[in-house]
Amino acid sequence: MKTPLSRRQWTAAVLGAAAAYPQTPPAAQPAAAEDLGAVARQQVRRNSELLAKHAIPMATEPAFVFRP
Amino acid sequence: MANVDHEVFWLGIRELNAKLKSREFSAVELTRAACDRLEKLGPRYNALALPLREAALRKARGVDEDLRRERFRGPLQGVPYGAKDLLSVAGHPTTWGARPYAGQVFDIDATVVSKLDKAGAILVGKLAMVELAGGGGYRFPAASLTGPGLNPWNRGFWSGGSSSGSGSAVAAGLVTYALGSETSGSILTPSAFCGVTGLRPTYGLVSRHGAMALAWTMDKIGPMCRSADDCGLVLQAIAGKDGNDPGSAGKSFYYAPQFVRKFAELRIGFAPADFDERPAEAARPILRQALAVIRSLGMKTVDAELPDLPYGPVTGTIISAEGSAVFAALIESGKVDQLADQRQIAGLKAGLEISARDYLNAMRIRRLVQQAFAGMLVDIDVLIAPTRTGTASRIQDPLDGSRGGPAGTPPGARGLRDLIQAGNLAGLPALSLPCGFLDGLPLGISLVGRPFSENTLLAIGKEFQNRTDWHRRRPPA
Repeated sequence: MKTPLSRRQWTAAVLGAAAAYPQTPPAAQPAAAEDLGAVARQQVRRNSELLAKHAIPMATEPAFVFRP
Repeated sequence: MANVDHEVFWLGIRELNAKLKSREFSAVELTRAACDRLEKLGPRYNALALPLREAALRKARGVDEDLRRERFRGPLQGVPYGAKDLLSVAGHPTTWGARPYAGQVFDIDATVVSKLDKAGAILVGKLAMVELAGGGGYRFPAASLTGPGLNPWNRGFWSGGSSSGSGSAVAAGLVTYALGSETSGSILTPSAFCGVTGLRPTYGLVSRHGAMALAWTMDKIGPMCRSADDCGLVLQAIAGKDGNDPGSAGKSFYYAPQFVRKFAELRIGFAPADFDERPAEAARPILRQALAVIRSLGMKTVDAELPDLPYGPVTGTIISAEGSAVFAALIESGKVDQLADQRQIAGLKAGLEISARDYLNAMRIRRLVQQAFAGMLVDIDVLIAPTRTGTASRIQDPLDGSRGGPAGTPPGARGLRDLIQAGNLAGLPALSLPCGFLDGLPLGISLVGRPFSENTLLAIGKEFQNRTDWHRRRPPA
């Protein structure tokens, strides 16, 4: 799917994109990365516990071939 | 240029197309004016990811030639639009709103872009988005390569996500309509926060080929417009079978709101708690008034309540597991650390730790959600609830309430709380309509229906907008 572009095409495209980049500085992110990692893993565990609490009938198959 | 009055940027698709056909101005003149406006004002809202002036003008010249020869291709012909930057446009950067992909270029057009091109629509720019559509769960509106999406009604507030630029650009009259995408709320939320009309189609109705994948079993692409009528016109153009999308439902969509059942025969389900308890107190009368307008259309209203299922954990587990699998190479290469939002980075990494059992159980409970809706929507044709219980948050405020939600159940009746997550899990269509303002910021209500019932939702939305003018309001210049 990816295509090689000429240097000129690439430069024009990327400069075009850069022209539209942020007008507002990103908000400060005070929390330490390691804390957020622990929070995210805890969220995975909490979701797991909440899923486990729900009794699922044995015959309920996963919605794999998903059709509404 | 002299012929193009700025009023045209607030016109609907049909009106704009009629002016082009009557030669009030040419497609080139309109496109040039639209590009000027988008390039000048888009950055004001951090809404513009990539201007596409040259390609748009080239397309417009072809449209003018077609119009001159009376080769009419439908109402979208010559009308400018923008596409969320997760849709590929051949030969131009597609950044997915994320720094690690800033130089990414594909050699294909996304199917939806290609379909709109065939309809004569003119793509004037790619619109900003939350990085990777927020797949890891982000903490700040600034989680984007283009900075936080700023709300045209008040730039101190967020435009919503993840289709931030699509919401802002339509609300500010920078494009006539835009394409957004929704995995769990990314069309409905910015539509409500920006005061535009957003349609989340039934899963599989619109091809995702050429779009960034976040969660294969949940991603949808849909229109964000100023009116329900415009959403119908755009949906007709972009819907349809696509062999390149394994999730394609193989169905077409013909916009025909005039042929839906009479409103008097429809039953609309709502929960009083959604209007009387959960919203901010000042928002309640506005939302109740919107419900009163819907009731005045003659539909029978009945009480409705979602069954007690863990919608948050199911949604969070599925999106995290699928999203982290999609971006496993990014995560494992370490380039994920280039993302703007630390929580997003942590969330993507943690998603790789989700067990097969949890993913499977989430998908099994998802089956129960589908079954619950199937049962509920036998007796009820459409569900209605506030899209969000309040207005947009301040731009610097953290978006706490992490994916998966709090462990405890909030007080009060369940009602249709979690309708965004539940409706997305079941793949149901939804339409968010602007319904008023609180402190100068828009509020929205949502209609949710059976699979492939878009015409019913659009018919109700169209009549609602015949009786109200919220969708015609313009943000301060």
